[in-house]
Amino acid sequence: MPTPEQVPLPCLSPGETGRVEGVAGGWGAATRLAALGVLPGRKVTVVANDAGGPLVVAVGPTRVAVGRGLATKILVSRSSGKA
Amino acid sequence: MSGASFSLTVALAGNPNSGKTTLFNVLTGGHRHVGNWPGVTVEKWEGRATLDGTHIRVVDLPGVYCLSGTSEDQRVARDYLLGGETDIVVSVVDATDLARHLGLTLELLEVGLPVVVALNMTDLASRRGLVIDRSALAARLGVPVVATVATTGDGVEELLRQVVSAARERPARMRPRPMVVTRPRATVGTPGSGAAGEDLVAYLAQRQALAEEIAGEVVSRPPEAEAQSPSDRIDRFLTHRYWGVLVLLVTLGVVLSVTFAVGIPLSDALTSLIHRGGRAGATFLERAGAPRVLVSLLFDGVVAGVGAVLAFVPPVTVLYLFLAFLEDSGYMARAALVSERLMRVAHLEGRAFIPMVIGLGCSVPAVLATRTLESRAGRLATMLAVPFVSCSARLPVYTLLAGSLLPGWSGLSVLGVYTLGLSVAVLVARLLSVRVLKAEEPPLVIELPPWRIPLPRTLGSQAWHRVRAFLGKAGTVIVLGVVVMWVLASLPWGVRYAGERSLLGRVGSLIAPFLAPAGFGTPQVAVALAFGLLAKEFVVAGLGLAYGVEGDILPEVLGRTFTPLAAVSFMVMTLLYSPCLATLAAIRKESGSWRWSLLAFAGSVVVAWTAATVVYQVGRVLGLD
Repeated sequence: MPTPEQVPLPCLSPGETGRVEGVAGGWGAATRLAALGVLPGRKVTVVANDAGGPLVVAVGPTRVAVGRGLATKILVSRSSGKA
Repeated sequence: MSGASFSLTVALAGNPNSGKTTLFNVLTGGHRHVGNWPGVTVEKWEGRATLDGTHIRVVDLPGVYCLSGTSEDQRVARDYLLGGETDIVVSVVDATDLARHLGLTLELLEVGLPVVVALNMTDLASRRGLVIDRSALAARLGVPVVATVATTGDGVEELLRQVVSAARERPARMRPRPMVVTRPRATVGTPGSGAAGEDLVAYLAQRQALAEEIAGEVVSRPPEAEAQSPSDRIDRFLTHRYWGVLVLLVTLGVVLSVTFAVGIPLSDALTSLIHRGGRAGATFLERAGAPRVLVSLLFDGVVAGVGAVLAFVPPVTVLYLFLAFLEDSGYMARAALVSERLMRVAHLEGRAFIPMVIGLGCSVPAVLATRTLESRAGRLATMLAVPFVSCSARLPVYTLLAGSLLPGWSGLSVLGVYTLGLSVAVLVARLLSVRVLKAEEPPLVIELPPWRIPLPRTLGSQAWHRVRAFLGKAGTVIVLGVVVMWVLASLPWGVRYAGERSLLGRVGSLIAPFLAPAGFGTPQVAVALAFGLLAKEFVVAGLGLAYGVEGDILPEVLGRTFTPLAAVSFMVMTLLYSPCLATLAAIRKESGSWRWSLLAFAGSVVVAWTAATVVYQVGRVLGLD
């Protein structure tokens, strides 16, 4: 259950960092995200968030592009400061 | 590989973008070839490495993030590794992103495979200030770790030594514990767990956590996630809704125009060379007293066939070079992202945009380009849809018919034909993907690899090997097709080539009644369409041959046999009916079975005939005749 501090990933702007709290939705997407490092507890930083398009996030040195629909299912809590 | 006997077999496993393929190229030098894993759409690269006289077979597995899972790539990799053929698995990891790449290594170890780790891209790692304690890593994993720089070849010999000595230490071929998943009952590495896809996610979380822990121990000065590095700024631009699309269109435009600007002249030069050589050979043989049948078979048949095949080589090679460059540099992933929205209409992934556009030039490389797509369903749906996008070889038919029968409307009608082709392609892709293949919409999660400057050496050799592989398989089919056509057109001996009394002409007369509802029920048209099965370029020539007239009188003859409405329906027919033989061969090669080529042929003939008939009949009802 999302707590008030948790927001869907697309709510972050480029440059903002969030800590992944959970991934709602099917296991297909979750496994692909997991294999690339987008897992609960990891910090991700948004690189690109162009209205309507896919998001690009940085997970450590890895850059992952996520479709907007899927991105809305990734819940993050905002972090202040660097990842 | 034939001839050589191998002391051992090594499989290369690793994430995509780990430098695995470059490593493979360095290990095998010129001794490698590409094929398909049987029955699937995945490429199989196999080669031979040599160390002090020992021959080692090297198999490059598809890049995967995880062995467990249902994609074709994962299945192929998993089945091969568990199949017992492998003596040693080389796990290729990117030193600049050790935490993530180690995940797969851990999975390999967990399954019980004998592993040697190739810590690749150590040059990039040191440039970023990363220091990796190799011996600590080796101790933690329990396997040898060799530092490599695949682009220069550093460490490759040492890697081979470690592989050979690791193989020697193993008592016999161990059968690994089969613990990997199929969907959706996933039980990987989590002993005693129930069966569910969620377990796979949980497993991956565990796996990655362990990988990060190990990486944390052995890597000093872990990289800071710089949110706005120059690469990131470029990515923001390239994946932008408008700018990204613009860059993509320009890029594709450049690729296509250069391919055909360079490829077509070379093709023509090659073809005319072959023709001249053929004529010279024919004259020589005739003078030497060889029977005319034989001479005609050899030169009008076989040599013409070989010429038709070789004509593909220049543009296809240039195209392959471009594609390899775009893929290796990292641009392809960004392009796929930008194309996502557009391709969703066709129920395809963004990457499918590339083959569709290539198809405007020629379907053959377009079909071959589908190998970059991620899912099998996507590859199949795309390769069957791509031939409907009008290739450049069909254009002469449109211009001939529109020019002679639709004066004033030619530009518009050609545009209409292209639009129709694109629409049908999208519909077919969607239909196949949703109903026939029942594919799920793949979730959009792709890695954007770091930008790299591709090595010309790598590009060249990848392209060369792919062209060679295609020629081997498709080439035979095409030559056979041309010979068969020659037989049908020349026999019974003495008739006018492709004339009414030839076998081909008789077949044409049989088919003609079926073409009548579409407005062009003459044997000559049937013969021309038959020629078009070989290559769309031959339809116009086929019309000329069948009517027995030279090219310049042809428009006049057509004007007498076609009505304007029939011209339109014929254009529709030419647009949609059967991919050429080379394309069918390419489909068979990429899909792994003739089934799909057959479907492409039969399906497109049905679609074409129906569409042409509908156009003609509706047009007559509307009084457009």
